[in-house]
Order: sequence, then structure tokens, then C-alpha cells
Amino acid sequence: MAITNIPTIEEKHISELRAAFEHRATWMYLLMNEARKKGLAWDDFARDAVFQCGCMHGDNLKSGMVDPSDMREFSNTFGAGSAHKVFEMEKKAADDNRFYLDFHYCPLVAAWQKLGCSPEDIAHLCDVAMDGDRGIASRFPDFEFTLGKTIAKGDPVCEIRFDRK
Amino acid sequence: MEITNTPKLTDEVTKALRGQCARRASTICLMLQEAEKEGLSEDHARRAIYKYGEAIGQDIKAQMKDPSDMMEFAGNFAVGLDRNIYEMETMASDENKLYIDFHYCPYVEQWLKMGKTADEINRLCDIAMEGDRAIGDQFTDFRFILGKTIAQGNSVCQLRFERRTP
Repeated sequence: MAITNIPTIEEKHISELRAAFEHRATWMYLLMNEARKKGLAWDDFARDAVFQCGCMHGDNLKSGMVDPSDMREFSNTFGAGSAHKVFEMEKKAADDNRFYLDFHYCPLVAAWQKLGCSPEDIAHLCDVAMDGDRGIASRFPDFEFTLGKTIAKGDPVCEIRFDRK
Repeated sequence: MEITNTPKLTDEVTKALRGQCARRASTICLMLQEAEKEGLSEDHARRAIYKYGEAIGQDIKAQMKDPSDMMEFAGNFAVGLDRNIYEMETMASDENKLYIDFHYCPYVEQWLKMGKTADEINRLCDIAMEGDRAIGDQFTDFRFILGKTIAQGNSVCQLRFERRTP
């Protein structure tokens, strides 16, 4: 399925922030690609690295919360701030038991497309990048993270789902 | 030498952009760490960042009328919000040289938060600087020199571009 990834929010500083996300995605790909050229499989090193990044990020988010088991508080913490517009996030549900977000745009996919990555590599890179979110979720023992559809696989949105365990 | 790295600019946009710099810093640090566990040397990371710099250098070159014009280069290198992120100060800019000091480094900040040793931070910084070396290499008339760095415990990072003498 061909990837569709077109931004609709064009605001001051959002493009600069997207460029910063693209910069990170570019480094990620280049580091992984050079390692692959040396015979190292992506899943053998990059997933652990990105997961650990996510854990640090999760700890940061947690430290800003009063009650890390409160899904409503989590829904106002995760994806808050400028990232909300960068990824064109839409809250599909946010209550005591679930927090569902759809992303309508992905600057990481945009970067990988600009680099000429194959659709297979983009889907793989996305799943490795999502280990960051899995790392974040691992710091919240009351929540379960599920990744649904993704832009990288050709879907119109990325479905980020947190459910109370 | 102990690292000193305190930001002066703290507006929301700069903080958000630094947040991404921090994520990049974590990414390179942890990717390198995991690749080294699997037996790879740091050379692959240097090549990766160098390639990033090559592309940036070529982009800058494409925007210039005369890629041998140092003044024009100065108007295209490290402009925009990057100046705030790194708290850059232009120390000299003329036909033969462009000297920029960085007063803050969000990468060093993140590596410190991650508990990396001074030697490791210095190494990571040097790998990250492959990007700037690559930018310099795209301009046959200029030479890039990295002087002091915050990662080495200095108060600034000194980025120097000088015209090559014939």
C-alpha cells in the first residue's frame, strides 16, 4: 500500500520542529544503515537502543505526573505540547480506562521517504521507532500499549492505543 | 576539566527544539552502545553522521551563487533557530574566515543526564562533529577546524572555517 503522508497544519515554528524530528529520523536511519552494511541486523541492536530511549522519556513523563496510574492524567501528558501539532494528533478517546490517539502525519516517515528508503525499510524503521513508545509504556505498569494501523504501512493514520490492564 | 553547560535562552520554541536534540543525542549514544556490544566499531557511526553532514553541505552549496564566497557561506551556515539552540555567537566573519562560538550544547546536556563519563562525552561529541567536518569538506576553498569544545570542559565550542591558502 502506497504511503500517504501530507501535513495539513502549517503554523509558525511547527515546520522547524518537524525538521528537528526529521533530523533525528535521518540520524537513526543512517546509523542503522551503516551498521547493516557491516552485517549487523537492525533488530539485533537498534530496538534495544530505541527502547532504552523510550524508557528515559517515560521516566521524564512519569516524573511530571501526580499519579502515574491515572489514565486521564496520562492522556494530558503523553503527546502534549508541540508534538501534538507536529504529528497532527487527534484524541479519539480519553477516559479512566483508555487513551486512544490517531496521528495524521509523521515527520519520521517524511524523512525516510526523502532519503529514498524502500517501503519495507520504512515499515521496519517505523516499528523500531515505535519501540520508543513501547519503552515509554513500560514505565507505566498499569497501562498496556498497542500499536494499530500505521502511516508507514500505508494506512491514513497511526493508531496509538493505551488501555488499562 | 569539569563540563559547564548552562543555557541562557529558555523560550518554549528553543526548549522544544532542544528536546529533539536531546533525543538525537540519546539515539546516537544508545545505538552506538548497542552496536558496539555486537562487535561494531565507532567507525560506522562516524560514517553515518558524516553522510548527514555531506547532504547538509550540498544543500547549503546549492543555495549559494558562489560556493567559494565565505561571506555568502556565512549567510547560509548555522542560520535560523539553530543559533538559539546552541546560543551561537559569530566571533569573526569576513572574506577569509567564519568563526562561530557555541555557548550551549543540548547534546552534552543529554549525555550528562545519561551519566556518561567525560571521556565518553568527548568521544560522542567528536563523532557528532563529523557532520560539521563533512559540511566543511563540501567546500573546496574552505577548511573546517574544530577548536575547543564544551564536551572537553571548555566554556564554548569553537567552529572555525578558514579560506584555504593556494
